[in-house]
Amino acid sequence: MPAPTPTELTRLELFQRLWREPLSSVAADLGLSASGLAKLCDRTAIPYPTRGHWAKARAGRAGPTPDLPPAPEGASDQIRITPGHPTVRRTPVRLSPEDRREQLMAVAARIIVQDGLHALTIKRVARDAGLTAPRAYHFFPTVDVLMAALARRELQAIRTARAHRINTAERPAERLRLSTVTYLRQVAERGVLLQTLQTAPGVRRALRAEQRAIRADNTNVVATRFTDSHRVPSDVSRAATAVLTSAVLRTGRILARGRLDLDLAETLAADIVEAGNRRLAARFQAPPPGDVEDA
Amino acid sequence: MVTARRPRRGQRLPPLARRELLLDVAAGRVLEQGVLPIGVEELAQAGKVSKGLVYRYFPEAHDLYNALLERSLDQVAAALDAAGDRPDLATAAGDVAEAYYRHVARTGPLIQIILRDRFMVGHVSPRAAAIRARVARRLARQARDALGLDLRETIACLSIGMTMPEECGRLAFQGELDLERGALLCRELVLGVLDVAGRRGLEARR
Repeated sequence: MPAPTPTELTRLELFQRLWREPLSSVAADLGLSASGLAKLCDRTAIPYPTRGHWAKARAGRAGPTPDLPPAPEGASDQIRITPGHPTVRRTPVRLSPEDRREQLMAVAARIIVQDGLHALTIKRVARDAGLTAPRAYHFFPTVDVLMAALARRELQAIRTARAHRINTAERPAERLRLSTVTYLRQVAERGVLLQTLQTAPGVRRALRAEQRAIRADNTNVVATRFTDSHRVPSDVSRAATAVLTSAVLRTGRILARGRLDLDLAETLAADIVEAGNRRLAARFQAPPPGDVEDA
Repeated sequence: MVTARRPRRGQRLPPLARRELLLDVAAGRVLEQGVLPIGVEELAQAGKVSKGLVYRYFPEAHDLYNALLERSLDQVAAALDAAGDRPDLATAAGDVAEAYYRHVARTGPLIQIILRDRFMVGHVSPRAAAIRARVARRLARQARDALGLDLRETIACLSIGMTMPEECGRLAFQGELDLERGALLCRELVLGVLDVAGRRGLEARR
């Protein structure tokens, strides 16, 4: 059996061939399997047509051909293909499991913001992160798990920022205002990602219980404060806190959709929370403890 | 030999009654789950019918949720229209909020769940969308004329204000809030939104 002849070609040549005919036929020509060639393209950052491209092309509905990005670090522009002998390697980067997780989540976040939720697959994440798919699956067995982890990370960041800011306030009213404003600022910054994530049923299902627990916790703290400072019955202050929190969250959604700018959203939400509290205090306020008997 | 009869799965019902029954069961499941979609299998089991029958009434999942949505919106739109007829804005807003609140407290936050679910994006039936747009447009126009705010801000205030009856209603529906107390709370909170909007309108006009 004759030794397979190696083929030499540049990234550009391969790129052009891949957008002229289907990957599987190019692969057959080069003596590779289709997935072997796909992996090679992943390693050398050559975009190739996705599933369905050629059917669309025949129907005249193919999208535009992407540009060839520069070669990733460590990969040369010359590709030497010897069937049976993988030659192109990316320089492996060793990361600790935590860092790898972080990296994958960052990649996923980018994919979601750029291309939307439907573009998020573990394979795509692996490809963009420069890993083989199984290694990415090791960290995130399903897309839902990945999305839930991302959402958790975002929510945690928002909460941390909020708690941090609130502690700088001294008066309770000021604290409430700061908490509202900080939340909205965070939404403005991270909005798109979190909003997109929360539309995924999987994420909502996964986070529902814990979100509820956290919210109940928050509600308790704020409501107790409100009961103490305004002497409002505790059921009213609990309900009011829950409702006003939802109002702030709604403002956040409007903000993230770009229907309000940050300044206006901040003022509106904070004013509405304040006005609501003021009205409730006026309406439900119990007389000071000493007068209860006389009333 | 007598062949064993298949167990009766349920009584035969006239189509409209069956449809209502299925909608009731679906509403319960949606409220419990809080997220769309619910499985057809699950719905069929809960309604004690075959899957085929569910498909017969609702060929696609979206048909089911649209039917639920339209039913709720029909119920609530009449009440909102009546309440919105009050001449003075504060009374109108308070009454609209209370009408919506009582609807949610009685039937649960179905409208919110369905309208806000990603599953329904691009699938809300024209009729449901039209009812919703009509009610929202009317409220927005009324508020804008009385307050002198620009449309964008009015819509934002309206949307934020709507959380009050929705959430108070949800709490009352879940039994975490007394019905009458919730009505009071809801009214005060909506009036709070109106305070803010009114103040902003005054500033804008100056």
